[in-house]
Amino acid sequence: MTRTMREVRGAWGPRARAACRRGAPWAALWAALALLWAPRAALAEAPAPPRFDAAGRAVGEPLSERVVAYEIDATLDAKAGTLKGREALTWTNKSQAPQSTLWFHLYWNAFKNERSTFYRDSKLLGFRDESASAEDYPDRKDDEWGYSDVTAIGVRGGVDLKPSLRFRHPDDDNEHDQTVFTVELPAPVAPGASVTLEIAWEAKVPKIVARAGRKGDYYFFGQWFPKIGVLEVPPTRGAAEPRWNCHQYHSNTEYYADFGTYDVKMTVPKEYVLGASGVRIGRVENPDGTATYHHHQDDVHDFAWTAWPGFVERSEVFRAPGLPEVQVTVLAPAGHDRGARQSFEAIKASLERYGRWWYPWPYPHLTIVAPPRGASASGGMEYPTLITTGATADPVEPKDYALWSVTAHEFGHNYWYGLLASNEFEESWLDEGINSYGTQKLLDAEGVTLRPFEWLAPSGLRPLLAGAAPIELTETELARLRTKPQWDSPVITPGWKYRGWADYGTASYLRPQMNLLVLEKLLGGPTMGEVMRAYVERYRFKHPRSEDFFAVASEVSGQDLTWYFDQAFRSTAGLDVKVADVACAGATAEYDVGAFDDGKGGKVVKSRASERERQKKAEAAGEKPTRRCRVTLEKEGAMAVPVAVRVTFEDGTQKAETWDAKGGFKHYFYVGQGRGADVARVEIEPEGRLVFDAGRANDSYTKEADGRVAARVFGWLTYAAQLVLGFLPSLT
Amino acid sequence: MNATFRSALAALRRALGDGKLVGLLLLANLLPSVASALAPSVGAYRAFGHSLVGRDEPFFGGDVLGELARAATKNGGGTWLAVFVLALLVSLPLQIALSGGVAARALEGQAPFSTADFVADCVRLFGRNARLFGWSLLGLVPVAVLAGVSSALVGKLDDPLGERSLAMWKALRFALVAAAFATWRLAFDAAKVRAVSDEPRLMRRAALRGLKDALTTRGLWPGYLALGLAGVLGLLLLARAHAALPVASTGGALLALAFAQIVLACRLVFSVAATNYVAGAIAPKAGPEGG
Repeated sequence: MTRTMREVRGAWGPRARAACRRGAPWAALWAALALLWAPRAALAEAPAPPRFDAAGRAVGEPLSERVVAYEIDATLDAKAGTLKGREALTWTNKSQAPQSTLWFHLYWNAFKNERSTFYRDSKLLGFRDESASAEDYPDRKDDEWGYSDVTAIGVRGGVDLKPSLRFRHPDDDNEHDQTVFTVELPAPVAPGASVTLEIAWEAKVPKIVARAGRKGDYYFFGQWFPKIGVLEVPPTRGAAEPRWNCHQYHSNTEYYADFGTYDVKMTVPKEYVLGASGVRIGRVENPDGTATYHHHQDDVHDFAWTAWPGFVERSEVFRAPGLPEVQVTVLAPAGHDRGARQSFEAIKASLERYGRWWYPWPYPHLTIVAPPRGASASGGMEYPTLITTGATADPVEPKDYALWSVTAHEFGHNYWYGLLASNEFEESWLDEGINSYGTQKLLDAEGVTLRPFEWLAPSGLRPLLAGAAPIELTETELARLRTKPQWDSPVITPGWKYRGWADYGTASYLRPQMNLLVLEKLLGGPTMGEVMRAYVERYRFKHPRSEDFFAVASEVSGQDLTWYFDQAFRSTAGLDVKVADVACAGATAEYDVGAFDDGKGGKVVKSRASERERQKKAEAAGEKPTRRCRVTLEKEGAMAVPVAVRVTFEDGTQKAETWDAKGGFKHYFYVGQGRGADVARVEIEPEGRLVFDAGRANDSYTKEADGRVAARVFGWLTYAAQLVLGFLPSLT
Repeated sequence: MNATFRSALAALRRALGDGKLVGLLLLANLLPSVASALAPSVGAYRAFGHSLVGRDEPFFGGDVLGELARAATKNGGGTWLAVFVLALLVSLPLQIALSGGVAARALEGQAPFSTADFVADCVRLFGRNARLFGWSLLGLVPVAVLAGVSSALVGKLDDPLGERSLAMWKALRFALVAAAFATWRLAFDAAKVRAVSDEPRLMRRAALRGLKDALTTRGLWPGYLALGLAGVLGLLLLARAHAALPVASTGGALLALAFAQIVLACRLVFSVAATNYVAGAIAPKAGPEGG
């Protein structure tokens, strides 16, 4: 009955829903009447048909090209911190050329020793989880290093490929790096044909680092199995001929893989609570005190899982008219009821808004993992149908900024990395940047802001402490705090070639986020929405590159936007436009004194004194004197975008200008009669389109000085200093 | 117990009645604060005086904060900080001197307040209080050690404990550290009173006597704690009310600053009341014990 009522709520109109809420016996009648009265509305409110069945298998045609099919069976020895696995990988050669060399990732060898490219990079460039500048970095106990050993690899029912296994280092000259290997097939895989390999491997789980590993009895398995690279087939990502793309694991890079099917069995101690990508289709308890979980998912390009006895599992269903239903599971530590509730709210808002803005999320199940304390290195990460956030038992109400922003962001990846499998090694912005733009839109739409004092205060003191300094920052303001007129690297830069962690971060997240927001303001919201939808529609379940996004934007908007993308994504240019100077003066002061031709072959000499006298007389006679004003704009940073300028005169008239910002400065001259012709106000981008403009205060000028902000600064700084100095009597 | 809280209430009433004293303390607090806020305010005027940004915001939006940070970076944020540190350095000896005057005043009972006498006491007791300050800072060491060790211990508690149990341990730790700090501050207040009433030559002895008073004087600690908690609560409530004031206009900002003086006055009244309370409790048994 409950299920029936839920179906009614989902499918029928608001009056029927209200009746069901009341539990009235008239519910069925209202519902029937509603159907008769508005059948079209009823249809519009129905959930979209599912794209996958209860076992995670696609209904109807496959959604992706399915280059790979993995069947994995893995067993965790939780006491020893080791994993043993076997996988059967079926790989299909989608190219027109035979392939005899197969490339693989073996990511966990990044954590094997400090000679790995991962640790070399992190010492040089910095690293997101730990301070890598310390002399003893990476500080690991003997049993905290992690690695994977391929113990056997061969063609199913055929040749042993282990002797041909070679570690490769396509990105650098580091012969010690073991994160990429190749094997040679005895016979090439013909175009369109498939090969099935059987691989056995053993792994030592590292101390939690870079999104994976163990902390106590908590385990997170990401990038955990031998995984085949991507054979890029023309015209994918501009490939002229088939080419393997299989990069080493760097400290600043993420991942890239082909779509396919994943059928995974995971055996863990039976007291462990397990969460994994895809849909759970079985769980059996074994005589040895372990339990085996069986998950499956079609049309994804990765698989991750976690296990910890401390997880409390909570589930809810997302239902919204016109969108597929999604079962949402939250795995969080005990006592995180409020955090879990906000996770559900954040994910439902994300499913609904992203689903309507971009594309209905098609998968039937989503798992959200809130790692326990001390395991945050595995938090804030995305995998297909599984994301990790930050655990909080005590979120700010009603919408905790950190919890909402991380949840919305990590789920957003399920579009820009999950559905559109861009190459995160080479073009991280296509995932992180577009997703940051989406996150910002969602947080702004949901009214989620950062209130630092409330966020930092313990919950018992929040009402008092938060109210004592009510600073509230929107996501847009937070982003704008970090804009600059000059950057270190172009946005489109391979992940390991940035200057450092901060450069990677701004280029991958902040700058594309700002660039896309500006693009939205230049094109208009509806057109930008069409651009995004067309991009998803065209490249879902494919491997887009930057040029693909740019081409879609130009095509849909009907404008050649190359000029913008070249500057915003392919250069280091930033922007700070400012009103440098505004000066108005009587005409005599500058222009009407000297010797002038009289038109009869002679000269008329006007002295400043005589002109002033003449002007006085004219004013006394009621004439308005001539006034000349000069407005000077300046620019710092190499970006040249059309800058809208609004000039307001004393008499209230306005003039709109557009500066192409190609030079370093621009003068505007205005001549008028009387003081009313003086410039009263200049505003650069009064509609606030150029959000990446680094300086905001210098974007406007008013003739009249205003002390309001300075007074506020004075008042609050004095007060803050008084509070600090006021505690000195405690000591004296 | 009732007598304890009656004494605390009487001490508070007396502090509230000592308007001139509180006014002097407030002035000593306000002047260096104004000096330290002037330079950034001039910087803010330069950045925002002719700009439209932030004019109508109720407090500080992201744009204003961002621009202030930029202005600090470009226009001598280091100087602004240096001025504030200087204000701190000036305030420290000033407050040491004032604390001597406050302790002496606490022992005067209901006598009328004389600014001249107060200043004379401040000057007379400065050396003594400076030395006492040094000794009492040593007393902060065990409090800091307790805070550090308990923080490390709570940090090592693992998750299977459950977040709720963890929260309980955190609250317990907070209470423990707060109690230790309150005890230290009580001992310090008692030592300041002893430094005036007993006139010992060695401030180390005054500090130890203060600690003994704090630990052994019956009913002293609960009353002192009650005054402290009431002071913190009052401060937070008034601070919240201050934050709610509209500051979008110049007049509003200045009005808020005027109201801030009430917040600070509250803080100072409770500080004076605490000294009064301690003096009232230990003065009857205070007296020269050699020295």
